[in-house]
This record gives sequence, structure tokens and C-alpha cells, in this order.
Amino acid sequence: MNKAAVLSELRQKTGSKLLQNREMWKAPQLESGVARGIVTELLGNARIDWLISLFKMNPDTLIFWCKSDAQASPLALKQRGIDLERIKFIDAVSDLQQPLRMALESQLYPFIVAPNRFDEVRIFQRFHLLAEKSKSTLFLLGQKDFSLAWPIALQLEINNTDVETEFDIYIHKQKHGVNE
Amino acid sequence: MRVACLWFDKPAPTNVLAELFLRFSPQIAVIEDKAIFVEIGKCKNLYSEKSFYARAHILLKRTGHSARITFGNDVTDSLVFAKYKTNLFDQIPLTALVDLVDPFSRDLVLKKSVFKIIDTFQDLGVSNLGAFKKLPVGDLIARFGVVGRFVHGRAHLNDFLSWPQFAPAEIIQEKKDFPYFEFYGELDPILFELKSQLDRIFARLFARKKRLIKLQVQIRCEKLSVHPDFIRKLDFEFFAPQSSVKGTLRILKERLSREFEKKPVLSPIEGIKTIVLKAVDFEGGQKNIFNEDEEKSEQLASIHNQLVEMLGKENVYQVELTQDRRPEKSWRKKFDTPHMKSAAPNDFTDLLPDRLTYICRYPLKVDVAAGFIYIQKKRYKILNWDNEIERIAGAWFEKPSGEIKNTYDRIYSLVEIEKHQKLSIFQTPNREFYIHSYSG
Repeated sequence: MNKAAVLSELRQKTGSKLLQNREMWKAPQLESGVARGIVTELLGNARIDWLISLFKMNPDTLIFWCKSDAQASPLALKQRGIDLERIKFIDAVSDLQQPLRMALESQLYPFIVAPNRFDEVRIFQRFHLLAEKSKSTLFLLGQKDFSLAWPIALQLEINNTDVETEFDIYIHKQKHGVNE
Repeated sequence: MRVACLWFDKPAPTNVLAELFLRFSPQIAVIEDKAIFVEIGKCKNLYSEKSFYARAHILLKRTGHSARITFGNDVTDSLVFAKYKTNLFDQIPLTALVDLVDPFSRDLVLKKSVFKIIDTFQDLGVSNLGAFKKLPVGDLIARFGVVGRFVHGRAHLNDFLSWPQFAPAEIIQEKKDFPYFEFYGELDPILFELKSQLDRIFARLFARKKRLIKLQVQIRCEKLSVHPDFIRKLDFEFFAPQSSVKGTLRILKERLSREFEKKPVLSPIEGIKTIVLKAVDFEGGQKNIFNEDEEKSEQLASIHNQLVEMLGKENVYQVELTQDRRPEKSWRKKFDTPHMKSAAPNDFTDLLPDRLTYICRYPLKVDVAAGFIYIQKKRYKILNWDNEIERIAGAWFEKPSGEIKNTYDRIYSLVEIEKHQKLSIFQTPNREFYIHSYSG
């Protein structure tokens, strides 16, 4: 086993052992929930629907939503039961790091959503530390494949199924709250 | 009456400092550069002399000044106690008669007469107030007339002196010049200075029961021919009234760093001035210890301000729904009042078919043929096609008489393709198909 693989395995182990007692957000069709204060990456064609359900299950929390090219439809959010006053939208065309860092540091937004435009581990590491401190969960919306960055604690691929209200959830990585 | 006197051995900006003591009492008097008097007797149920002493020391320490604080039953006795560093009234030198008779230097003729009295009695061996008080009033009247009577009364603290009115400065501003210290627009020294200026400004605003809503920072650089922007004026308007230095300084930092990136400072900075342009009233008093809504709302407004400084106003917003049925027009941006409830609830959303979660920035033209849909030249199998779930048409009334260009007539269908990907596709009267929104 090479050094990188050993390190990766150790990180997985320490992560799951040390942080099993984390506070969790209730999440749809994810029994263990989503840990607070982590970086999460989401893929799939139903991830936003799943995310909206998660926001609905955890009301009275503010949401910081960084937009990419496409706009999440506010009407769709409202129709799915999300109070639009909870959401602050950010159009960050170039550098997303600064607004995200600011939102995490403020400790006012328990949910932060942003497109995953990052590839340096250093950046994820910074987000991970800030998220841990603020107990906010950062949801990064991935492009095609999951990122290999180790600070991402939860990676989910969520797709639609035949049944309208159900999601097909594939857990690619889950460091915290794994159901034993 | 109980009066606290703050005596400054070194000249101090007493008019500015006195404002900070408005939090203790509205009755304040000032001797320019020398002393501040605060009437604290009427507030004895709110704070004791001991706690006043401690709090006043902290306030002065924050502003970088030190003063001797004494208490008396009148302006004059508290003044002489502070000035002559003793609480034994009778031991105070006779020269203190001037302070007892005219502490605010309002009558120069009277003052001159009192000096004559002091000289006379010092020659006669009367060196302190204790000895002077023992002199019979009749002798003083016989020798010095009405002035002698008045001086005797003051030495016995009998007569009441009116307090000169203290009016705080109309404009709250703080400034600092850097005559020798040269720096060329490094942010840290400027922020360091701004922090101390904001500290003082917020203390002054707090004393006036006000909060900051509009601020101007002026940075003055050395005037050089190669540096046209040698005076920078930065105006800040806050979304919520500010009461803390921390949040305000962050907003200032964002703007300054952008400003210096855009227009670098090319000559040494000579001075920084901060002016309060607008302040609003707030209800002072005991903070609500059971909830922190007010603090949270101020923090939210502060971070909103910072984001606006960083990304521009048009990029930081919340949304509210409109009555327009077109998906791209069904909402509008709301730039102010972060996370405040909208006045009118939109309850029509249940009447509309469910919208998909993402709207394309521009509708994407697609081709549909024989059970397949072609998106950007890729072929996807159609699993389900719900025809005509919604028809949106209108805008004909916008140009009723001229050429009708702004009309729209869309027939929306909900389409499910491979991997259960849902698309909202509309068809135009020309039988062209466009993807308008999708789940994702």
C-alpha cells in the first residue's frame, strides 16, 4: 500500500471514529442524516429536489445559495415548501471562495450551497475547517465526477426514480454518522 | 446634588469626551481642555459613585486619556478637590478662591478682584481656605464690598452657581493626521487607525442613543502632480443601523481593499477622517437577555453589506415572486432588507403546475423526432412526454396598434428522458422546441 493510500485510509478511519457523535441534520431517505459542519458534494439529477426536502425538514434555518450559470427556480422552491425569505442568493461569476468563506465565518447560515468549481485540496481543507467551526454544512454541487479531495466528508449521487417522491441515493463517501 | 469632576492634567478634548458621559447624566458642564462635571446625584439609584468611578476610568482609558476623578456637593468643591489633589477642604490653598468664585471663567472683572483679595490675605498670613472661612463676613464686606460678601459665601459653599449649557457637537467626526509617519496605502495601518476612530464614534453615538446608518471616510494623501486622487472620499450606507465596530470595520475593509486595488495610493497618507453623515435613534436600555434577534439581524445586515461591497449590489439579493406566469419572469430580485418577511404572501403558487428546479439562462433549442430528443447533437430516449401541461401566452396588449413583436405563446410539456431526467420543454407556434427548465 502506498503512502497516499495509507493516509487516505487513516483519514477515513479517524474521521468516522472521532466524529460519530456529531450533531446531524435530518435528511430525506438518508437515515443517518447529514452531519453539521462538513463539506458535502452532491451529484445526480435529483440533488436539488433532495436538498430542498432537506431544507424543508430543517425549517428556521437560513440558506446561503451561490449560483452558477443556471438559476434555481424560486417558484419551484416555493412550491416545494421553502420560505424564500430564508435564502440569500449570490451571483458569483468569478471567485466563489471569498463569499463562501465569509458566509462560513459569519456562522449565520447553517446551509450553504455552491457549485463545485474547486480542485485544490487546500481550498477544501479551508472550507472544512471553517465549516467545522461554524457548524454550517457546505453543499457543493459537483459537475460530472466526485472530487477526490479528502476534506469532503460526504459524497452523494441522488437521482430520480420511477416513483415521484423517492430518490435513488448512492453514497460514494460518508465519514460521519455511518449506520453501523 | 452630587457632582463628579474629571480633571485633566494634560489638555484634553473635553467637549468630545463629555459626550461619552451623557450616558450617565444629561447635566454636564465643561471647562475647555481642563475639566468635565457630571451631576450624578439624581441617578444614585442607577449607579453608585464607586461604579461611576470605575466606568469613567474605563471610558477614558478607551479614548487614551487619563483624569483625576473627585466627587463633591457642588461644581466648585469637586473642582478644587480634583485640582488640588485633596479631599480636605480647609487645607486647600487660598488661590482656590478663584475656582470657587468663577470656575467657568465667565467674569474676568470678578476674577481680577478675587486675585486682589487673595494677594491681600496671603500678605496677612491667611494661606488656606480653612483660615479664610473663619474671617467674619462683616469685615470682608467693609473692606471689599459686594465682592467680599460673594467670596465669603462661595468659601462656605452657600451660593448656587448656574451651570453653563453643554451642547454636543452637531457633527460627529474623528480625524488623525500623520505628519511624520509615512505609508503608501497599506491597508493594515489604515484599518488600525479606523478601528480606534470607530471605537470613539460608536461610544459617542451610544451616549446620544443613536446608531450609525451613513458614514464617510476621507483619506488624504500628500498632494503630488502624479497622484490626481490624493483625497479619497468613501461613503458607506448601511442596510441596518450599526452599533458595533467589528461589523462596520469589516465593511470598510472590503471597500478599502477594492478601492486600493483599483486606484493605488501613490503618495504618503497624511490624514484619515471619519464623519458620521446620518445616525438614527434607538431605544437604549437593558438588552433582551432571552433572545438575540436584534444582534442577529444586525449581523445579517453587516454580512449583507460586506457581500455587496465585495460582489456589487446586483449580485447579492433575495427573491420575491411575481404574478407573471412565465418561469423566467416569475420572480424578481430584492436587494434590501436581508431575510425580512415580505409584506404580501404569494398564495397563487399552488394553482400553477410544479416547476422544475433549474431554469436555463436562455431557452435551449432542441430537436424532437421519433421517440428521441436531440440536445446539443446528443440523442436521448424519451421515457415519458406529458403533453400540454401548461400554455402561457400574452403580452399582445403591450403594443396593441403597432407591429406585435413582444408576444409569446408557449405550450409547455413535461418530458422524462433517460435516467429519469425531467425536462420542461415548450413548443412555439412555429413548432420549435426549447428546453426551459430541468431537474438537477
